[in-house]
Amino acid sequence: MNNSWDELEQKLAALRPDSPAPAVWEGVRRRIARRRLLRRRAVLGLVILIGGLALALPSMLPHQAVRPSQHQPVASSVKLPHQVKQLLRHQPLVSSRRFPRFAAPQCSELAYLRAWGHSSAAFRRLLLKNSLRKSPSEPRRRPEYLLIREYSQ
Amino acid sequence: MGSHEDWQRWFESHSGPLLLLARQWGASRSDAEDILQDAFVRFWKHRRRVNDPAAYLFRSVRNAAFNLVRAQTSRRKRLEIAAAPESVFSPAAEDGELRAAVETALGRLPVEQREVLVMKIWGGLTFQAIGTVIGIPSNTAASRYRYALAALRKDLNSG
Repeated sequence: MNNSWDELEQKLAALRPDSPAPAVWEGVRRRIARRRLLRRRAVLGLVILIGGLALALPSMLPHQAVRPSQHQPVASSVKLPHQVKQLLRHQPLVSSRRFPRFAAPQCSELAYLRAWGHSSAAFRRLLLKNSLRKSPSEPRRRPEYLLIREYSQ
Repeated sequence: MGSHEDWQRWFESHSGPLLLLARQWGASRSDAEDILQDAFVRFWKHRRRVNDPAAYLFRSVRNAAFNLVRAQTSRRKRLEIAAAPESVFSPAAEDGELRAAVETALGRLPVEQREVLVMKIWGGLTFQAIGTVIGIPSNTAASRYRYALAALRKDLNSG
C-alpha cells in the first residue's frame, strides 16, 4: 500500500504547476519600489519638519529679561524719552506717590521697569489683563506695585 | 533574503504552487495572478514579523481566493458555462495524458481536500504548516490528504 502511495505522490509531484506571467513579478517589483520611495519621502518630510521647528522654536519663545546687575545703581534721575512721556501722560502706568517705598528716588516706575528689560507696552498689557481678571479667587485688581515687583523680578 | 535577486528567486520557486492553490478555489488565472501579486506585496510589507514565509503566503493567497470567489459567485455562474477550462499545470509532451487526467480528477475533489493536496505535494508544506494555514489540527490535515490521495488514485485507475 505504501509503495502505491509513494508512486502516486511521485507522479503528482512530477507535474509542474503553471507559473504566473512575468508581468506579475514585474508588478510586485514596481509596487515594492513605490512603497520604498513613499517611505523615503515621508521620512525626509519628517526630518525637514523637525529641523524647521528646531530652527524656528527659539524665535517663538519669549525672550528672557536681561536683569541688570544687582550692584548697578538705579539712576537717581532718569530722563525719559519723549514717547514714553506721551504714554505716561495719556495712560499713567503707576503713580510714584502711591508707591514711594518701591520706587527708586526720583525714578519713575517706568524707568525701573525698563531697567529690568520690560517695555511700557508689555506692562500696559499686563495691567489690562489684570484689570480684566474676574476669577472669584483672585482680587479683581491687584495693586500695581505688586505687579511691578512680580513682573520685574 | 535581502537582495532583489533573492526575492526574485524565491518568488519564482513558490509562485507556481501559490497560483495553483488560488485556482483551486475557482479563481480564474488572471484573478489568481492578481491575488498572488497582492499577497507577495503584503508579505514584503510584513516580512520582518513573519517567521514562516511560505505558510504566510499560502494562508494569504488562500484567504484572498476564498473572499474573491465568494464575492464573484453570481458573476461566476454566468461565465463558467461559456469559459473554456484553463489548465493549471505546465504543459509537457511526455505527460500530457497524465496532466489532463490529474486536472480532471483534482476538479472532482472537494475543495477542502484539494487545497491540502496542493499545499502538500506542490507547496512542500508539512501537515503542521498546512494546519496553521487553514486553521485545523495537523491530524485533520493528514486525514484530508489521505482521502484526497485515495480518491485521486481511484479516479486515475478507473479512467
